[in-house]
Amino acid sequence: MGLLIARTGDHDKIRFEKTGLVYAGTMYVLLGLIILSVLGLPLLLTGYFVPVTSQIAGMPVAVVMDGWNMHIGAMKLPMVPLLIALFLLPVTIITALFIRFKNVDRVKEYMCGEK
Amino acid sequence: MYPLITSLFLVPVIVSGLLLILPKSVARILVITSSLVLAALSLYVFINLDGVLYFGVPHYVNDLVAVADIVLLVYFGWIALRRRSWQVGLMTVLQFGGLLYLLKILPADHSLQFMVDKLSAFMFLLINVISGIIAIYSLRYIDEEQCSSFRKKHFLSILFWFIAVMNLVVSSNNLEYFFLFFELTTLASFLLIGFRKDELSVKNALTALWMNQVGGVAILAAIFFIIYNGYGEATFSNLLAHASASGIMLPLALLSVAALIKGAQLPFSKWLLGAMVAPTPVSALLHSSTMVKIAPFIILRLSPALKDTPVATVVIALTGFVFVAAAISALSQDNFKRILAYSTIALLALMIMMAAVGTPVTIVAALVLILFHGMSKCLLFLNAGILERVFHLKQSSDMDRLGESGPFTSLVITIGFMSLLLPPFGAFIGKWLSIETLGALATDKKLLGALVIVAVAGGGAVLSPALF
Repeated sequence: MGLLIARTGDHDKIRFEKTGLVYAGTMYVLLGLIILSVLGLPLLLTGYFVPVTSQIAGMPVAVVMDGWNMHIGAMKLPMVPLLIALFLLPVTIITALFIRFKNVDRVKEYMCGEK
Repeated sequence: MYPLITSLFLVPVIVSGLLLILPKSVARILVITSSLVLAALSLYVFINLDGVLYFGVPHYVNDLVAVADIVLLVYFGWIALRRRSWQVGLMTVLQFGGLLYLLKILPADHSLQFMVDKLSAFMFLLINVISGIIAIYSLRYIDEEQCSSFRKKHFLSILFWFIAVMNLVVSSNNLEYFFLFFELTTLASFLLIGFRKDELSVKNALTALWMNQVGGVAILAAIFFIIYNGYGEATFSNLLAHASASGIMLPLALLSVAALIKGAQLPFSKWLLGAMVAPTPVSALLHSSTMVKIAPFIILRLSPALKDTPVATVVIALTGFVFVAAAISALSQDNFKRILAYSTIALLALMIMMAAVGTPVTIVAALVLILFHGMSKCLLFLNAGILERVFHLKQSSDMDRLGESGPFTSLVITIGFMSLLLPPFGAFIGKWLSIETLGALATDKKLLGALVIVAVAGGGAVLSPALF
């Protein structure tokens, strides 16, 4: 991931590439599904995963919201750190892509011609 | 509900046939509309399915299944002769012998060959949504492939036929039917891995074929022992009904072996790694998003019977080792698709392990991992195709500064990897639930806990370089 977002500084403007409708469209749909499933995780747990689990295990699985914690059976899932992570992760990526530091050494180390 | 479920089997088969004859422009519309229809149907089935739906098929279908089994094995035998593969030949002979014997001793009249419950509906949704996206993506990918226009049609046709087979696999109750559909997925992987027809593709396709055939032999042996031990019909429901009987352990163990092979667990991981030579949609479809999910599906299906048995202990210990060994091996890879393949093996191990533990929370963890891994890996594999086709990159070391030439692609890859690793994404939640539960397991069941810890911490680190 570090290699991917590393930049030389030769191209300060971000220009999003054109990969075509089919490639970009499928990527958008998958990204949308992943982000929606994160946002709707409590709903997914109660409406999607728990009914399946209850039928397999042959017993009900309790999913209870207690303040900012979600209890799945005996397990506790703290929601606040998850929400903070959801906010921080895009900030990290966007920062890496868009914010440029001025007057810093951007030259990659010389490797004697070796990659 | 019954007509809707049947549509999930029939629509992709009909589309598969039509794709071979329709012109390109109409085929494109058909692929997109049928993908949307299948996704909508599976969502409707999931929402509206209450309880467990058992259904049988007319008597002549049993005969058709027996004939299809034989035809399939004859085809495998022909491949063994044509390609001079003794492994495929040996497995085919074993399967043929086993099948002919079973056809003699199996009860003439089967009942309730299909069983659709919430787990099947969960798998329908995953299979149809993810496969639909991959089919649409394939429209352009396969268009850019250097092959004849018929082979391009053939590729899309196999994709839809595969969707139908996958829907059938997760609906089977009768193990003879399950064997046929299991082997049809094996055939699909053979055809798709060998699609490019070069020497390496053919070699790897044969490896995938014989290794998965070992799973087929295990299923046939499981059917034999169910009947031999007098437990009645060889069905999943019957197996679960006799869960407490001691004689059921062997069939459970054999079905677990079939699951471990389909899930590319050690020592059968080679077929999945070799499958990376196939076109990228195949890697995404068969080997990350859907086909390998048959492995955790089988263990989840058997979970009530497997829980707290010696078979479960062995499965947990083995997958505990594979989880770490495959993850370490992924670190040493440079090829982007091989990194994804190793991480798939590792995560499949975790899913199978959680399903084998069999407590409600571990089952939730397994399901969360199945769904989120499917979406994230599909995203990453399809991106591997974009990297290959648009940026002409295959090795991760060549992706230096992709952020400048392809910021959107690198953004998507970054999110894809994050969604497998970090909070708040579902794969993290699944792993977190797994770790919490395994901690409790180590406290409550000291021997099993010790096995898992030793396998994970010691064996994985030391043996992985030797094994991979």
